[in-house]
Amino acid sequence: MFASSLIEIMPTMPSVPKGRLRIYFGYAAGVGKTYQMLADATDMAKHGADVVIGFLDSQARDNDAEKDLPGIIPPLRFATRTGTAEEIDVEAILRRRPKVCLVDELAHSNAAGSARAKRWEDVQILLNAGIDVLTTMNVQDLASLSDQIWQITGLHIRETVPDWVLQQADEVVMVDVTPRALMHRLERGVVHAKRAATGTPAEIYQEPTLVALRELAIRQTAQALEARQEGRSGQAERGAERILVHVSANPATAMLLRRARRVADYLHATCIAVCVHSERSFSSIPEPVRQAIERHLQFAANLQIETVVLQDKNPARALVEFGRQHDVSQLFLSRPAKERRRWFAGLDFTDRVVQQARDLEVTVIAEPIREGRAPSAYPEDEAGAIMHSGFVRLPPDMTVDEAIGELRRQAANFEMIHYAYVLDESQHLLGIVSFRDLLSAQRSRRVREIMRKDYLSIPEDMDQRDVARLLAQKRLLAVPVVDPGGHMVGIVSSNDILSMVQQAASETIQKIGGMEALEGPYLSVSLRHMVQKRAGWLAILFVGEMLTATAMGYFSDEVSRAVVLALFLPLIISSGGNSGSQATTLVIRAMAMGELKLRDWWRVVAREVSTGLALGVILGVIGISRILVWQGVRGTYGPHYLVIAATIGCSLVGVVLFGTLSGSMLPFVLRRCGLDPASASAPFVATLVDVTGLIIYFTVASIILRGTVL
Amino acid sequence: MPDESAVGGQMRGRLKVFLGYASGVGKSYRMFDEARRRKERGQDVIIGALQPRVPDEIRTLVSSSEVVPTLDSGGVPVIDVEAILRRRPQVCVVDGLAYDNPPGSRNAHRWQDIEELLAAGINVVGSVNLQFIDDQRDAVARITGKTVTPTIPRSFLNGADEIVIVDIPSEALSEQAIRLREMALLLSADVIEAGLQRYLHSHGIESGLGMREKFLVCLTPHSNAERMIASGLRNAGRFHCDLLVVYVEQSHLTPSERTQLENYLAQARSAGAHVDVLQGQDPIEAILKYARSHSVTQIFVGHSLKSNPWTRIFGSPVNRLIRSARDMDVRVFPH
Repeated sequence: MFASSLIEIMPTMPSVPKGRLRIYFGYAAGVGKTYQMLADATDMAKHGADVVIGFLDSQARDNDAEKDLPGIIPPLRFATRTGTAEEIDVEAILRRRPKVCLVDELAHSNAAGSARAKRWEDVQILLNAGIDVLTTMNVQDLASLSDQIWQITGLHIRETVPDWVLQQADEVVMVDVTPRALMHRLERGVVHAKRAATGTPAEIYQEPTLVALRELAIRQTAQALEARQEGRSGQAERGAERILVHVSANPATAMLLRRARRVADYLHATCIAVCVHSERSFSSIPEPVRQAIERHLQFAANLQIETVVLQDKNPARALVEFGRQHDVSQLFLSRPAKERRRWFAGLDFTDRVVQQARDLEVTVIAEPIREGRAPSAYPEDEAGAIMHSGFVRLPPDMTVDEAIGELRRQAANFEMIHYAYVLDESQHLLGIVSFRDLLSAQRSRRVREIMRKDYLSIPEDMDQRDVARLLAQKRLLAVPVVDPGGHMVGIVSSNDILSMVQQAASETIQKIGGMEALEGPYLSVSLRHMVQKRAGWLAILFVGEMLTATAMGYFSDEVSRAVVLALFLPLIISSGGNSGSQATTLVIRAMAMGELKLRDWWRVVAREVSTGLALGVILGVIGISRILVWQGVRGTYGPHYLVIAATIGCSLVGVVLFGTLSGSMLPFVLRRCGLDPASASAPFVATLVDVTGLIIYFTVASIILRGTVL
Repeated sequence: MPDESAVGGQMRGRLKVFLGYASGVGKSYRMFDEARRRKERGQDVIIGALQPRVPDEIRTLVSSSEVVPTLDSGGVPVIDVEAILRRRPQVCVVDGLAYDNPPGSRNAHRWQDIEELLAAGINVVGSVNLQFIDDQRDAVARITGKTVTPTIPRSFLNGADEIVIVDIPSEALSEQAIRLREMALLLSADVIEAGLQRYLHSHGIESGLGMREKFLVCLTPHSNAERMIASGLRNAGRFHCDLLVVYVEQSHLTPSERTQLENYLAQARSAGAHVDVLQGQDPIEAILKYARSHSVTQIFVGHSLKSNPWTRIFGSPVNRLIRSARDMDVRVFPH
């Protein structure tokens, strides 16, 4: 029978809250959600409802100060690194037990130290306690939309609300103004304050962007309306259709999950996320891969998708079989890797699933592209993915004395304290001070005066390899990561890069060694797996080396007439192979370090021609010397020793030159063909040069030795 | 959307539409309130048409505005296009866009009068209810049981530069009104999408900003066509979007295969899908080209279960399509 074991199923249905949730829904800061919410709340209070304000930002409070606002439950204050943060005081509201509570900005992430990470979680508590909640959110805060939002705005939204929170709302009020009207408000300065207060990036305030966001918001409102309508009239046939999502370490998985969630919501289908691995147990999946999978499973759970982990030697078959057993109608997969398939590697996972799925529909998900770049769903390859937010923040107007005290206070919390970052109230990065600067400055000076403004910062979507290169070149210990709005979002330290580079390096090294990357630490990889990974390449190389026998056969006449030639055969061809491997390794390394680009190939040719000649001459001289010495001592090579020496010398120059040239060009050729240059492994070069070295050797011999030995 | 298309050397006026889904949601009030604000900001605003019965709250709003009276032709109010063109205001407000003018008028329909004003560079702010849009009328009638006669074409509405849905919270609404509200939301989303595409097109931007799903079913004589079309229709219905069905012309079909295929295409057509027959040496290229030019978001293809050693090693055309269609979902139906 089928041998996959079910490890865990995590059901994730929320309890049905008792309070009613009304969401004021808009497409950008400034459309008037808070205004509308306050107007409605004031109206409710006037009609005798017990309304309190659970949270409202100070901006809105000041604006509407003259209005007859309902009572405010004072927010909790948290000391943060940049001052104080205000968060909703759930306990106080529960004690007060109002009928209706206003909570602005549903998507907000709570300050560190709060009981819950997200404000929507606070709101769930209130709803469960039977309190009606009025709240606001924007369409871009919706978790399942972040890929579309990225495509429209180029922004990665960090503070999101899971879709089910919106779906559970008893009422969604679309607060709408036309983009043109919003732009007018922006010009008149009405929106600016609001935008700054909510941290909405300025980039979105362009008409086409706003138009697209508005359309998305309207469609979303219509969808929410329809879903609620069907829920009410009992038409929702959830469970009629089941969508299975394949979870892997592939960074596109997050996007896949979002898309599946969205499609499932529209089709009233249920979703289940399945990860299939072929290791002995989940915990023996090697580290970076397992972490990524765990993160994706967690993400699925957040989107209220049931998760399952299966173990099977044949993941594609296991996935399809699981789908069949669980009446799944559609299988969601991410795209196959971009890299062109090497034919001998067979079909990849996606292709195999498509071929196995005899009675299931398979949907392969698009990868949206913006300005020629693919998104970074979970930006594994970008700076944003490896950065962390554990850095020391200082306000600009602190004195050096206070700053040092602050550092002492914060030092215990952070691993990386070589620099402190000077941020203004809205988290804009103003400058950087090193500890040395602080310690050597006068105590009464302000941080603002001694900070460096000519600092280097990187965008979130910078490629990790470029970050590594930058840190190495500039000899930096850490570099700040800044979003398009100039807000500091974290740092990448040399430690972060180190672990990333180690992983990448071991993959490259294994490829240079002529095998596919192992999927685990050397000692824990199973024997069968090890042999599998290595045998393929060896067999191919072996077949390649057979060509040497063919070539030798071609020159069998020469060999039989001058047996002395055979004596030098291993010497000549291994010199070619060695010089080729050497050149390949150097070029691959230079490519990996970014020192060489594809267009530099002719410069490599120029260098390798002279290097190859020089190396050939050096080896040739050594070879000739050996012949002369042996001849002088024992007379090994007979009367024609001079021509033999000349043959060896010339052949070595030719073979070594050819070896270095082909060894250095092969990585370029492979990259040009869209393959990984690291797979231009040294054994491969050696095989190539062996065969041609043989031909060069015998051709040189037949020219020089004709009439004498031959 | 800024629309810089100049007509006859003159900038075309902007059309702003207040869309209501039922009477009494307050779209006229909202519109005249905006007219008042525009006037306060110094724009030259006139009123080109009022509803026959003007409620008191609106009467106070419009009391300070200049009105170019409608011509009364047999009890039907007709916009005095000539007078307005002579007067040349910056903005003309028209309450009620869906009117049929009596025979002998300058234009047969009021929306054509509006076109003239727009072409002359006058901005028009107008209001209309959902049931008066020609492609919504029947659907509204199915909900309300009432059919209206004068309609405005959807293409006219799609040409609007701005659309405002006049909405009231639905808690107080009947189920009927909620369904109308949803229709109005979807309609305005479609109008916005049309404007967005127009903008992207006029600025030479390759799509990618489309917020709307679009499904494309690719048929062959052997594909599981009934299931694919049914699924396509169901998806299009749930996502409120169009369904496209194509077939790439192949020369080596037997007569029976050809009849089979014609049947499928006819079936799709009668179910409301948009059907096209594509030409092309390489079917995959032809499909991709069509899909990209129609901003398709998901392609449905059939996949034969009969595999041979060649496809087992090198992959089938479906594998190739999956690889090439990076920017679209590909849904594979086995057959």
